[in-house]
Amino acid sequence: MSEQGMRSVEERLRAAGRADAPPDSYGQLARAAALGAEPKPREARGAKADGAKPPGWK
Amino acid sequence: MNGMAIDYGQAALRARAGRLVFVSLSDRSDEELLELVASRRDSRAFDELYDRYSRAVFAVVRRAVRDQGRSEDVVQEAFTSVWRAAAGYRRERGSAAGWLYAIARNAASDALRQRRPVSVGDPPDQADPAPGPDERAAEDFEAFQVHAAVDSLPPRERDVIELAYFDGLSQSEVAGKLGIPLGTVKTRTRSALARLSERLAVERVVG
Repeated sequence: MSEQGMRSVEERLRAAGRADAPPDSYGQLARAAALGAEPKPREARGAKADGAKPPGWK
Repeated sequence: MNGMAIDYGQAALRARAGRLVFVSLSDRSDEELLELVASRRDSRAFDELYDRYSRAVFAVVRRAVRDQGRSEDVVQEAFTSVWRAAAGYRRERGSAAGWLYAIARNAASDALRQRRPVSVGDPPDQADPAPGPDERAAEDFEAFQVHAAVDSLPPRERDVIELAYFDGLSQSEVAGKLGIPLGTVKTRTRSALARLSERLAVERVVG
């Protein structure tokens, strides 16, 4: 990779900054929900869901 | 037989360079995954897309919605929309990343509309120095692409990049924090930047 290409990527990384991320438990719950094993995160907090959803996303 | 693919659950048998090879879901492009979700209602393909984009989608939503708990709901609504509307994706109209970004922005906009009261105050005397909607959207999409690209890195390289470029640590500090030699930090950084350059260049062409 050229020095210019590397500098460009470095600049884009710094400009983007660190992203806020959902808590680890969110991803685990969402994955489990997709597999139908556990309620999805918002259901776990008591929210009502509706509409067409992926398998397990009730 | 080039161009043909036989699917076996998470893998596909494909002809490549004159021989048959197995292609796992993790090797599939975003566009292929979306098409699998659309045509076969493939929950594993959906799962793979979630893994690739959930953090980038969350970042976009969080910037717009601000509230952490509400953002988690909106991200979930966004991915539910991905599942429901995947059949509406057309490869010839743009990249899957761009389509996913639009879904995320729409979900965030819907959430803001539901929350925001109608303003009845006087118009401001001066122009707002903050970026306008178009400029903001361009910045958001750029950040979305970069975050998705970083998430696609092998974990060992991603850790180095995040510490160096997001947290501002020197390479020596990264080495100390991760407990690895400085030379390894340099090697991983160079490798990661090359991967990111390739991926981000492709997205600029496709997007």
